[in-house]
Amino acid sequence: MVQYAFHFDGTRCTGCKTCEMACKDYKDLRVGIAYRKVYEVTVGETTKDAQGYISTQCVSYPLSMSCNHCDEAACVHVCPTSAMHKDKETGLVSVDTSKCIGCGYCHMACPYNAPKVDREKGHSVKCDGCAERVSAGEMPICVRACPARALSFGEASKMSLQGERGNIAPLCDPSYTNPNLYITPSKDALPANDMSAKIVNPLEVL
Amino acid sequence: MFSELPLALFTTCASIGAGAFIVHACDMLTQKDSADSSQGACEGAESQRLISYMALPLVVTVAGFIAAFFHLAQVSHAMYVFANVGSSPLSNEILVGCIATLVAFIYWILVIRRVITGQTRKWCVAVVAVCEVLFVLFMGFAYMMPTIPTWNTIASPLQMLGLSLVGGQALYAVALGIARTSVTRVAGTVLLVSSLIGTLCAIGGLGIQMMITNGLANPLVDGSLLASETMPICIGASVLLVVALGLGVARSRSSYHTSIVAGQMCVSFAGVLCARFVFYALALSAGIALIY
Repeated sequence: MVQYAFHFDGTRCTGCKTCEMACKDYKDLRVGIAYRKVYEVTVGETTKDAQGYISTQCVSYPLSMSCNHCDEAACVHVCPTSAMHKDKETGLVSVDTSKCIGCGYCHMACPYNAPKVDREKGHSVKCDGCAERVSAGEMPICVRACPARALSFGEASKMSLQGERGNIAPLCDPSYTNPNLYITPSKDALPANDMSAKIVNPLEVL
Repeated sequence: MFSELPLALFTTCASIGAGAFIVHACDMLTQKDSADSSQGACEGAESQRLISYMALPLVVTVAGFIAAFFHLAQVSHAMYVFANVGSSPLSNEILVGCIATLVAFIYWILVIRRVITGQTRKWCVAVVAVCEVLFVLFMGFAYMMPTIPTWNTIASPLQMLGLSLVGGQALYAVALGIARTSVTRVAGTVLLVSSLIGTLCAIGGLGIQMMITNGLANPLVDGSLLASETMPICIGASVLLVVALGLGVARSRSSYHTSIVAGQMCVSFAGVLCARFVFYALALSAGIALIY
């Protein structure tokens, strides 16, 4: 069994969201549903002193993330029907729509905002790592689309050489689910679990 | 919070139905044997009338299960829900709930048909009580996910147990009233004690969850803000539960006057439902998921 993983290079990403749009286009997703999201993360504040001088310690960096196809996926653990399952050959997590009851437990359990219940379709939906493209020897559409080459995809053993596992804010401690997302952090990125990093585009990504 | 109305109704109705059987079992198990050695305990016309109206908790429990179906996006796949028993907390909960409800139903049938009497009936009602307690606890365990730290504590099953006793003893009192069963001193004590224990566990569980939420945060939500926004409903739920307890005391002193019994049932139901809304509102992910 090969475990596939994503690598995100924060030193390259410009936050253009081409990856997100490519995925929406390829998967024909409707308004309100996105499998890959670009989180705009901001740290610091802007202040005005007594003399009226304004100074800022604000920094911002983007984080492009879809499903992390975790080693101990919380969604797979809590799914009552086994609809959410991890492929034995690739390690990619996907939804068996013939079994999913749309209870939303996967959405509650996942700390990475990956699965969601699409009530129009009657089941959970999420990134499946473009499994059909991967089986044909191609890259996921988001990786192919990225103009800055900030996304990579391949065997976890190789991706892990390029970055650390899920190690930047606003992500939680990777030990919860061991996400297969390896990150090269940008200069301003804070470590995982640092609550001073805030997501400033929640209406877009949630 | 209110988007979880189907789940709130499920956990309210199912826990109240289960709690009624728990209290009924406590009542039956504390009754002395009849002086007539040819009859076991719990025989007689009053007891048979009471067991007929124990259909009420069964109906309330089933109503809870029906409400849960409205939460699902695809009801037609519902039979797959047992596929992950042992791993999925939800599968475990549904399995234990189905078994507990079935055991209670079988007990009800066997007693109505007088198939089981006396000491055998006491053993059977004890089994029913154990099953229903497990059901209530598993309803709490179902929400204990490591990635939702505000739910992943002992407060979840503690609240459920408390709420089941609060609502359950109120529903059992309704059954006693409809059956026109004279309430023995022992039965009255059982009802009051279960009401007190239930109220303490429920409010204690809510309090623990509030404190934990207040001290946590994620990149999206500050737990202290969540706790402060939920505080009015939490206080309201606690007040309703305490009022229900007070009505229970008034009920025992008024010889189970119909209006007080009915009033306590309504207040208990409202208190349990509000407490469930508070529980769902205090969901705080360890990561960047916005649960509601």
